[in-house]
Amino acid sequence: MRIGPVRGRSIGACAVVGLLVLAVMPVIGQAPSRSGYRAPRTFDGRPDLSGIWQVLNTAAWDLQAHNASENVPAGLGVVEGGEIPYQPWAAAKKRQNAQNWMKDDPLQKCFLAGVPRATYLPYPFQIVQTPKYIGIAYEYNHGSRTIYVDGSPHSGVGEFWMGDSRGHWEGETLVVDVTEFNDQTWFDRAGNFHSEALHVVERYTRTSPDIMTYDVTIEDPKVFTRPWKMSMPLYRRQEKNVRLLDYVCLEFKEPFVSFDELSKTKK
Amino acid sequence: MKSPVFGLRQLTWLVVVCAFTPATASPQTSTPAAKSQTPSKAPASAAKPYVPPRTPWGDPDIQGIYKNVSMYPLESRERPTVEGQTPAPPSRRVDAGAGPEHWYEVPMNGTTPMVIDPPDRRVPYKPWARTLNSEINTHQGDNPEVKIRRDYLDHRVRCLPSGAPRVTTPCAYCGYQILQGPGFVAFFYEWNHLYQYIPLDRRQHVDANLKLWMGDAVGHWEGNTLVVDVTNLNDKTWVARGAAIHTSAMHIVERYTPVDKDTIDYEVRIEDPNVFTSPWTMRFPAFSRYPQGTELYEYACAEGNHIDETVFGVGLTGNK
Repeated sequence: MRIGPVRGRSIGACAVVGLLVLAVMPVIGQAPSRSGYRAPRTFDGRPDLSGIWQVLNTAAWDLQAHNASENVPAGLGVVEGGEIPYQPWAAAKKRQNAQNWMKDDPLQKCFLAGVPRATYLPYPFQIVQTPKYIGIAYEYNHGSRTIYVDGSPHSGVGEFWMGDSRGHWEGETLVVDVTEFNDQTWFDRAGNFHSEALHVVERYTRTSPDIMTYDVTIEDPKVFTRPWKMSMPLYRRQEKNVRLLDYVCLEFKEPFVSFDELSKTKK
Repeated sequence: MKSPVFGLRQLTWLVVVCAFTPATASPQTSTPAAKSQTPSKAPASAAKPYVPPRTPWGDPDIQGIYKNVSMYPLESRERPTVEGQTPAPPSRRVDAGAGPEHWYEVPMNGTTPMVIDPPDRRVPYKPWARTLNSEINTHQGDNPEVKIRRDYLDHRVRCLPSGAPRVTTPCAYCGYQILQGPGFVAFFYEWNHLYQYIPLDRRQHVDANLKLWMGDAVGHWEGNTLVVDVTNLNDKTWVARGAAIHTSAMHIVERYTPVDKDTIDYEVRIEDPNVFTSPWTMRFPAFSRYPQGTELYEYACAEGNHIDETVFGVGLTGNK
């Protein structure tokens, strides 16, 4: 939230520059994605990303290639090159996180998942697309975020669990620049983590009617030795009448009086 | 730099305001300052009904970022009127806690109850439900001699979803972003990052066995009014603050009517034969448009909730 003057940041300025580049080079705006697929358009001519999407992978347990363990399926890994380039101290911290995940994983406390973790949790999410605002509703914990695609800079005011998201279009791709994180969220249950210096760039690109590629660049000079990338497909949920349901984590930790039961016994 | 994470101080305050004082806006003599909080007349009886602009696909366009108009009491006689009592002046929240300024700018001086039907403006509880309502309110903690019962405690103080229609009843930290596209209206709520996606294609409600915190919403336009039918609610939420309990049989029909370019009135008919002797209706000016350029803020509730250590001394949730 901001009213009045806002301290812009260089990253927000980059997004604005990106928009200007698009404005003067309309050819780029028409370019198909690497896959050659051209997505159906919204009424304002943008690729239509709206719908209910979900991953079919095991990144929520571990971003990197891993063997199965009890109740955890094996996974090929989603990190480009396989390695997450931790600084030495951070590699030790990651190992410690992995050992203590049951106590320390923010999701064990019913906290917001952060970005990009919210995307590849094993729960669907819904993209609600309008010209200036793209809302994302996550089934997990009723989480949500707004991506501003109105050319505005980052808010400059906070440290947020879900970050501050400013997007722009590059042809078929929605590019979202996310900053202003806190240092409280993890990337997965294997204890991969970041600091408040985290800078995430997400790229959402439809590659077929029901598949969208999700490419992410992670940058955090306090924790990693260089930026690194992950990539995975998102699949459109196919069920008739599909809608998001609930996974309200706290519901399973709190006591309740059942008004349904009471209404049957009291007159 | 402001952090959206609540500290102990904020939570304590939140508990006090949201749960312990259900009659946040007590009945008092109407003042000129309170004039704007009087519910607007129904569009049918207005001289010149406001006609909102249209979206490119022809729906009334109510998109935008809104705040509450004011807080209101739920029902009449929410608090006993003291003879000769001087009405309190209009108040604003002054707590200097976490988050943006606008979280502390909710006028609390609404005097007209939200209930408009039945005519006595009281929630038509069955006797057992009125008794339970009082008992639950007693255990919220405004009486230091009565122990707080966690299973009675306001679900919102426990950072659980508001449910419907409570998510639309005015509260602190409650901003609203309305997005529209062909075939839908979506509400993104500032409080606890909730959302409600409302399809407009009149699809059937989901299976009756599904109980959802925010219910299953299906909408359509009647003229310039968005009408939303909500079922499949669970029995864990309150209709409004002050322990307005209901069961999962509750069925509500909401009507959102833009009455000028910046204001949306809200009316909701509530039906639950398990709890109420008859259907009843609330109506009040709900949304007031924020200035251009306003953005909502992240409200991370569970993440900063120190209720366990401050109230119960034992941890069920994350912060222990």
